[in-house]
Order: sequence, then structure tokens, then C-alpha cells
Amino acid sequence: MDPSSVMFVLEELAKFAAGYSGRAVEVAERFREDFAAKHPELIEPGDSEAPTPRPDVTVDAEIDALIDRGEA
Amino acid sequence: MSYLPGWVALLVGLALLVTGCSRPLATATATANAAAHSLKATQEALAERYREDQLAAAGRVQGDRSDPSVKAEQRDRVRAVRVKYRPLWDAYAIAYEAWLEAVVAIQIAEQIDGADSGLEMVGVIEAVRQLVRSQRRLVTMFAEVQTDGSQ
Repeated sequence: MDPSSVMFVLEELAKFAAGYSGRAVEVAERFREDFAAKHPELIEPGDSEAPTPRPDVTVDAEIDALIDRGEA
Repeated sequence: MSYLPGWVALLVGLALLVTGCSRPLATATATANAAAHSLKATQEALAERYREDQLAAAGRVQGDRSDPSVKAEQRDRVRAVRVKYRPLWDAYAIAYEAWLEAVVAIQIAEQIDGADSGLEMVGVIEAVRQLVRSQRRLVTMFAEVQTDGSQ
């Protein structure tokens, strides 16, 4: 096991510990179990719950259209 | 939707993967799913903020909205907002690509018998590690933009 990996993870968990009264790991475990129970199948591109590749392009097109129509 | 639950689950998933767990492929799947939720929540919040900032910039231009010179000024103001957000969208694109790579690595591992103890898991773990790094960068950059806007 790469020691830097362990340090990296511990560092991240320590950051969250400050916000969860020292029970970060328990809280985080519960989140992970919750996700695993709700989403047992791998979410893939195109699924409704998947992120999209270029959301900024959609916003830009909407704003450009509003300016063109004089509605911005 | 908040990115925090998915982000926390993503970190725990990586912790379990790098320190060893009984069902690494199932853990990797849950972790990739958590990453998808975290990324989508960040995407929605970022897109909304991006949209509002552009509308505000265009709205600050005075004059007749049908006047071509007013429209040109609005486009200039909007362009400045887009330039400001470009590094964030670049970071988003990197996080999205990292998520895609994790999905592919898991799909490959799923197709191979005994993947839970095989070399394929090394690729899965590295992909999840990149996922955490890229999402951490994105979340940090977005937090900075939110702080700038609230001051």
C-alpha cells in the first residue's frame, strides 16, 4: 500500500472531522452505505442521474438567445 | 441537491479501496456512483451561478434592448463572465473525464472473473484516486468563486 495514499485519505477525512464533531468516519460510512443501497448498479453516461459533459454550452446558448431577442 | 454527501461517500470509498476491503468492486461501484451524484450536484449549482452572473452582467447595460449597440455591449459583458468561469469549466471537464475513466475501469473489471483480487482493481483504484483529486480541485475552485461573489 502506498503510504502517500493513506496520508491523502487521512488528510481529507481530517478536514471533514472538524465539521462533524469528531465522528466524520461514522457519518461518512453511513453516506457510503446509503449510496450503495440506493444505487447498486453503476451509473453510466446517459443515465438520468449521470452528470453531463458540457452544461456551460447549454447556458451560453440560452443567454445568447435572450440577448438576441432583447430579453436579457 | 448538495455535493457534500456524495463527496464524503467518495472519500470513504477511496479510503476503503486503498486500505483493502472485502468487496472492492462493489465498493468501487458505490464510490463511482457517489462521484456521479457529487459531480451532478456541483454541475447544477455551478450552471445556475454561471447563468445568474451572465444575466446580471447583461442586465447592467442601460438602453433599448433592441438596439444593436446595446446588444453588442451585453455580449461583451457576458463574454467577460464566461472568461472568468472558464477555469472552473475546465476543472469540471477534467472531473467529468475522470468519472468516465472510473466507469470504464469498473466495467472492464466487472467483465473479468475474479476481478475483486485481480490486477484490474489496481486500475479501478487509480481511476477513483484521480476522481477524488479532480473533484477536490473543482469543489475548491467553486467555493472560491462563491466566496468572491458573496463579498
